[in-house]
Amino acid sequence: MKKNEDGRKHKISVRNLDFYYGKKQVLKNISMDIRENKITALMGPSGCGKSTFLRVMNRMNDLIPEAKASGTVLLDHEDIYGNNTDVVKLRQRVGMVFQQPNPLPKSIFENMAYGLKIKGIHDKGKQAELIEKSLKKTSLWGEVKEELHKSALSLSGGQQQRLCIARTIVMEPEMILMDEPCSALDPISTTKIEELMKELVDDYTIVIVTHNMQQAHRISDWTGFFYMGDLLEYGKTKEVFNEPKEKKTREYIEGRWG
Amino acid sequence: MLTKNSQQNLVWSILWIITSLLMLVLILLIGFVFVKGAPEMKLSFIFGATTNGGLMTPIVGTLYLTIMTLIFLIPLSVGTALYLSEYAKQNWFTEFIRYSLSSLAGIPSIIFGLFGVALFVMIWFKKASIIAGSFTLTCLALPFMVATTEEAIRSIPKAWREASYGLGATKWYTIIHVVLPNATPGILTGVIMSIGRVIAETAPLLATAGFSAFLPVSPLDGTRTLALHLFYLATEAPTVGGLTRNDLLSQAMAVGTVLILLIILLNFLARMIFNHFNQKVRGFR
Repeated sequence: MKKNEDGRKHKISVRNLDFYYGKKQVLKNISMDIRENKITALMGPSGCGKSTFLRVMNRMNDLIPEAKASGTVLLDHEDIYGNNTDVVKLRQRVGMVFQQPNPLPKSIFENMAYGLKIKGIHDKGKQAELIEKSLKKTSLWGEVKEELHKSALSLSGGQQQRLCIARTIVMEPEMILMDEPCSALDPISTTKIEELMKELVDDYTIVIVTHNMQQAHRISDWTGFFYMGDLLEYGKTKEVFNEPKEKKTREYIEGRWG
Repeated sequence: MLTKNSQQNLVWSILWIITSLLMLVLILLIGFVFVKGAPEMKLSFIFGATTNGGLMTPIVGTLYLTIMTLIFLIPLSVGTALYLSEYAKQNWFTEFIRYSLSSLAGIPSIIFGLFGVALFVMIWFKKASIIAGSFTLTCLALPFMVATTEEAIRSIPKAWREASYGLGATKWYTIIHVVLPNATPGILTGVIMSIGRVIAETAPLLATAGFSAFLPVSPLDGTRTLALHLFYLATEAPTVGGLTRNDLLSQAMAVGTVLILLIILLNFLARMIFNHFNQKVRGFR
């Protein structure tokens, strides 16, 4: 497997990706490598294509009827837009956490077991064991262990989002995509999620879309800056923030617009 | 010139009078039927054999016809609504289906009756019967049921579907485990409103359901519903059993009373289910 200068292999390799919603092109000739076991942040102004790019990696865009992609997106050397791709398997390997916490209107336990059942794990004991492990990992266990059968919608926003992360990692994915996971949360919950991400990155490759530059700066190892469908700049977070090569990136980071 | 305040008062008074008039009409109508029907509201009348002038057959017939109609109506409308909202591409064909459904909803019910006679009675079942009547009512209620079901399915938040797909669920799995369970209260409300419609209809059943006064057994037997029975009572010539025109009319009023009470009960039920659902959703948010 191809290694980088920092010795990390590429989990995802994107080459010459164009993406359209109907006739409108939202991503232009993107080439990008995502390093394994690193946090990669995608930032840029609204409508720059960063969320679309995130949703390319687990083909969540397939739900939009007019969407069309061309180019190659390799996950461990397998083209995920190839004809043989099983989208169900892909989404189990590449989990996703959304902007709004979106637990299903079921109990906490049922939310956690939902994906396990899809994976074919129907044994209650086995489910309970995996669920406990994941809830402990997201430090939610202590808060909810007495009320696993209460509605997940009765949890606070921050707890709901940690539940959604737990629900994703119980599937034992290889990657976690996060689409502005903290934008609906208060600062304390945000801190908890950021700490959690730093713990999780030892086991998973994380890609996070964020509006929040401080957040990108704080938690990510690599940062990509999107602007109007182009990937303007991509590099180590320190370098992008300290000595941006592009004028637009510098202006955005300095807060002149965005 | 009127001051601002007295203008307000004037408008308020006019609106109050209009609203009260409306209430008055409702109270008069229901009150009239209830008062006129009251002398006949005896258990022996309500549960008596229809061959002796009782209501047993119309009550059983109404239930029978309603259940038969629901058996055809629910799968057809849920299937159509699922296809339209989840599977069909938005193109001229689905537009055409939607257009057809909304046109169907505007067609007078007697036309459905005519169609029922021509197809179900004369060609399929060769006789006016419960099954022919329920087929006719299914056609009549279908547009409304499809619209209600589609509405219920569309009201499922996109975020819940995304959560399901994001965990690797297929479309069908998502429909079975997320969409339908959460759309059920909305669909149930539609079912109850449809029942109300089925119970109240006469025109489509006049020539399709038969008018037998005997208790129906097979779906191929004819029967009469409460609404149909009311129609017969109100239009029958006063010959049988020494009943006068007035006797028959007050019997019709008694049937009307039962019918109105049933409809009120159903509306109440629909409202309860809807409120319960709304509270559940709000409590969750």
